[in-house]
Amino acid sequence: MNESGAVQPLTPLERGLGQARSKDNTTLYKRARVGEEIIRAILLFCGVVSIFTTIGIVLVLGRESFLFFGSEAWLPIKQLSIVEGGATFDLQTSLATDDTFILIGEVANEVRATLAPNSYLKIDNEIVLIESRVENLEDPTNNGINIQRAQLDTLATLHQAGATLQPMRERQIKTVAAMTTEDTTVTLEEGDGLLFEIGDRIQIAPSSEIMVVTQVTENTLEVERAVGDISAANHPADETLHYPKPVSWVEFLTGRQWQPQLGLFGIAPLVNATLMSSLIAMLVAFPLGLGAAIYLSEYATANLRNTLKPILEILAGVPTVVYGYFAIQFMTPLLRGLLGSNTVEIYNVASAGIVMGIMIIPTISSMSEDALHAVPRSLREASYGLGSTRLETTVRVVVPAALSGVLAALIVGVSRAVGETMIVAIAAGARPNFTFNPFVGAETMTGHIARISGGDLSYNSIDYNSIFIIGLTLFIITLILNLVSGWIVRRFREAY
Amino acid sequence: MTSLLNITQDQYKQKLQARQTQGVLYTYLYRSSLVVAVLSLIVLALTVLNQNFGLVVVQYKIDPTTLSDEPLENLDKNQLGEILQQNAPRRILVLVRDTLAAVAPDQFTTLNLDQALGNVVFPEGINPSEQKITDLSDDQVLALLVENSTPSEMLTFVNTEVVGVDILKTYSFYESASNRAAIDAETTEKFPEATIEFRSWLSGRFLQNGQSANVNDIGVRTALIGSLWIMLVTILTALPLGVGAAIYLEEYATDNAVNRLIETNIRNLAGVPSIIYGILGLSIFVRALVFITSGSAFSGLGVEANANGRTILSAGMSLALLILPIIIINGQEAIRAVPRTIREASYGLGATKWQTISRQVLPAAIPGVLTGTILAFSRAIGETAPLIVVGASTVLTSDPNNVFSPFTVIPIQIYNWTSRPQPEYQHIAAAAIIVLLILLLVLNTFAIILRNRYSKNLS
Repeated sequence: MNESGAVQPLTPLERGLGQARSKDNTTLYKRARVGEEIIRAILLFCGVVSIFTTIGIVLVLGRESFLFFGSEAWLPIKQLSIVEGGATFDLQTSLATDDTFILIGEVANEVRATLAPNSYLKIDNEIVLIESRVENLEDPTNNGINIQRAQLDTLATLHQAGATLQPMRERQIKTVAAMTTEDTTVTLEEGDGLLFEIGDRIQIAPSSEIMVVTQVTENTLEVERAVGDISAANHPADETLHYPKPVSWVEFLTGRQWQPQLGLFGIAPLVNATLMSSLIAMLVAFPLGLGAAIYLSEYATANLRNTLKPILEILAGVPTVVYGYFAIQFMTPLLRGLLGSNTVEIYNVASAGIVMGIMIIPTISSMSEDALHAVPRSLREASYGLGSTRLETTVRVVVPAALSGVLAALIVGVSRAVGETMIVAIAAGARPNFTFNPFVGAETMTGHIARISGGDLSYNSIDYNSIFIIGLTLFIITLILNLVSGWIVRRFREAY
Repeated sequence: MTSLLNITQDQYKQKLQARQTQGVLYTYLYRSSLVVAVLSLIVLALTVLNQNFGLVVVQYKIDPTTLSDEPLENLDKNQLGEILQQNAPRRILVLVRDTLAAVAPDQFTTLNLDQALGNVVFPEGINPSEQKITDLSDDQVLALLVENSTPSEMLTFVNTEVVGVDILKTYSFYESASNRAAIDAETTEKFPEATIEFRSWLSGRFLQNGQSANVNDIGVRTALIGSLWIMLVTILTALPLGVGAAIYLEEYATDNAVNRLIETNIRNLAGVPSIIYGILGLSIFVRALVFITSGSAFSGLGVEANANGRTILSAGMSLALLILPIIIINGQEAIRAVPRTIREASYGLGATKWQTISRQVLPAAIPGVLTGTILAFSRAIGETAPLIVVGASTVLTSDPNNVFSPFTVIPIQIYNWTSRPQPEYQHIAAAAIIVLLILLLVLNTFAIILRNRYSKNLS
C-alpha cells in the first residue's frame, strides 16, 4: 500500500489479509458483508419497533379523542311540568342570588316527598335543582334543602320571602304512534310539538336513525328521514325522542360531572379521584419506602439486607389484581371496623389508596436504596469524623446527597399510582364522583376505562371514544411525570 | 462555633445523650417501615389462605352414600357410568353432545357419527360411518361416554347430574375455627337437611373443571389454558424483537440522534400505564387488523375464524408490546456485562461482527437475558387491565384451541369473581389467586435455576 517503503513494514497478518482480499477471494468477502448488513437491518428494525409503539399510542389516542370531540351525545328530550295539585309552600326568608339553602322547617311527609333530591323547583321565574335534603333530628324547624341555582337557562335572582315554591317534574317526550320506514310524520302528545323548531335534529330511541324536523304543529312533526349514513328504520309507538348534544373541549376541561348517559363529560371527577388515590398511596409509600431504603442502606447488616431485599421483591412481583382482592377483603373491612361503617362506604378511595401504597413501597425503596448506596463512603466518614451520629449523617449528609435519586423514586411512584388500574377498579367504586372525602366511592380514570370496556363495547359509540380521551389524559400525565423524573436525575445529580 | 465552645461539659453530655436517644428512636422508626412492608405481605398471604380454606354447608339432591357402598371417589368409571344410567338416564345423551360433539347442536342428531363427533374412540358394535347418534341403544351411548371420559370427568358428571351439590353457606377459615359450635347450631336450625364439610377451595377438581354456573363445579382450567396460550404468543413475539433491539442498541448503535431517541423512547414506554397498551391493542390488533387477528385471512388454510378480533393473538401481541421495553432494558444490561475482551479476542481471530455476537456475546449474555425475560413474562401473566380492554370473554364454554380463539386468563377470572357480591365467589377467587401465585413462583424458580445452570457452564 505504502509505496514509499519501509516506514511501516507489513506484519504477516496484514499480508494474509491482503491476500484474502485479492481477486480469488472477493466473492466470499462480499457475501459475508451482505449477510452482516441484512442482520444489522433486522436488528435496527427491532429497535425501531418501540418507536412505532409510541407513534401508535399517540396516533390512536389522538385520532379517537379527536372523534370524541366531534361527536354528539343523544339525550332524551324532556319537558318540565309543574306538578298539578301538589302542595305549595312559601319561602320563609328571602333568598339572595348566591344562597344555596332553602329553609323548609317541619313539614308533612307528603310535602317532603315532592322535595326529593334531583327534582326541580320553580321560584318566580328561576328554576333550581334540589341537591340534597338537610335533616336535623333534634330541631326539625331547621330542616331544609340544598339547591343548585339557575338551572335550565334561567337566571339566579333575588327572591323575597313569601314567593311560592312550585315543584316541577321532568317528563320525557315520547312518540304516540308507530312509524314505518316510509312515514314522515312523528306523532306526539298534544302540545309537545311546540317544543321543536324547524331544522332540529332528532333521534327516536333505541334506533340510531337521525331525522331533521321540517315542519311543526301542536302534536306532529314533519321530518326528513334517514339523515346521515344510517338508513330509515321502523319505530314502534311510545319511544323516547332524543336530541344531539355536542361534546366540547370547554366542558371536558371544566365540567364537574362525568355522566355519559346525561351527556355530561367533565373529566374533573375522574382526575380528582385519581389524584386523591395517588396522594393517599404516596402518603403510605413514600415514608415507608424511604424508611425501608434508609434502613437497608445505612443500618442493616449485609446478611439482613440479603434476606429482606428478596421479600420486598416478592411484594413487587405480586399481580395487582391480587392487591385488589387484598383491598376489598382485608383493608376495607379493617377501615370500616376502625372508623365505623357509616363513615366508610364499602367501595372507597382510602382503602384502594392504602393498598396501592403498599404495592409501591418496593418501587420506592429499591430506587431510593440504589441512590443512597451510590453516595460515596468518604462523605459518611467525613461526617462521622466531625462527630455526627449515624442518624445525623444519614439525614443531613447521605439523603441530601442522594436527593435526586430519591425524588426520581417519588415521581416514578406517583406515575405508577396514577396508572394503576386493578386495585381501584375492584375497591374504589364504580361511580364518577367529585368529592374530597376519601371514605366514599369515586371512580378513577383507569377504573372507568376498565369498567366501560369490560362489557361488549360497541365501536363508534361515544363511550368507546371516551376511553381514548381518558387514556390520552392518563398518557400525558404519566409521560410528564416520567420526563420530569428523568430530568431531575440529570439536573440534580451530584457527581462524585 | 462560639456556641459550641461556650457550653460546659455537662451540657455537652446532656446534648450527646439526647442526640443518641434520637438516633435510637429513628432506628426503630426505619426498622418499623420494613416491618410494615413484610407484615403486609404476610397479611396478604393470610387473607388469601383464610378465604381458601373453610367450612361449607352443602346439601345434596341425593345423598351420595345411598348410591354406592364405597365413596364415589373410589369407583372406577364403569361403575360411575352405571350410577349415571340408573339415576339420570336422560342426561347421558346430553352429556355426550356437550362433551364430545364436534358440530353445532342442531346438526348433532342429523349427521353420521364419524362427522358428528370429534376425535373419539368408538366402542365395539358401532359403525360410525353409517349410524347416527339416534340409532344407538342407551347402553351404546353410555359406553361411548365412558370410553371417552377420564374417571375424574365421570365423577364430575355423577356429581353434577345425580348428586347435585348445592352450596348453601360458606365460612372463611377464621370463622370456621373460632366459631364452630355456632356454625353447627345455625346449620341444624336453618338447613336441617344439609351437611357441613371442611374444604380447600383449591383442589384437583378446581384445576380440571372449566367455567360453570354452579359454584361447586367452577374451575380454572379454561383460564389456565388461556394464560398459557397467551404466554406462548407473547414469548414468540416479544423475545426475538426484544433481544434483537437490545443487541442493536448495545452492539451496533452509534451515539446519534436516532439511537438516542430510541433509548429515551424505550425508557419512557416502560413507564406508560399498562391499560394504555390495552387501548392500543384494542384499536390496532382488535379493530384495524381484525382480518388477521380473527383468523379470517387464514380461513383458506382451514382455520376456524373468530367472529371478531378479540382473540388470543390480539391479547398476546398487546402484552408483547407491554413487556418489550422491559426485555430490552434487561437484555441491554446483560449484554453490557459481557467483557470487552471476549469481543476483542473474537475479532482478533478474524470473526465478523455477527459471528462475534452470535457465537461469543450472546452465549455469554444468555443467563442475564433469560432471567430478565422470564421476570418480564411473570409480569405479563399477572396483567389484567390491558386484557380487559382488549376484550377478554367473561363466559367461555369451550377451551381455547388455537390463537384465534376467544380467551380468558386467570387474572381476569380473579377480577370477575372478586367483583361478584356472593361470598362463595370470594373463596373461588382466593383459590384462583393461589393458582396464579404458584404459577409465578414456578416461573421465577425456573429463571433462577436457568441462570445458575448457564453460569456454571460458562465457568
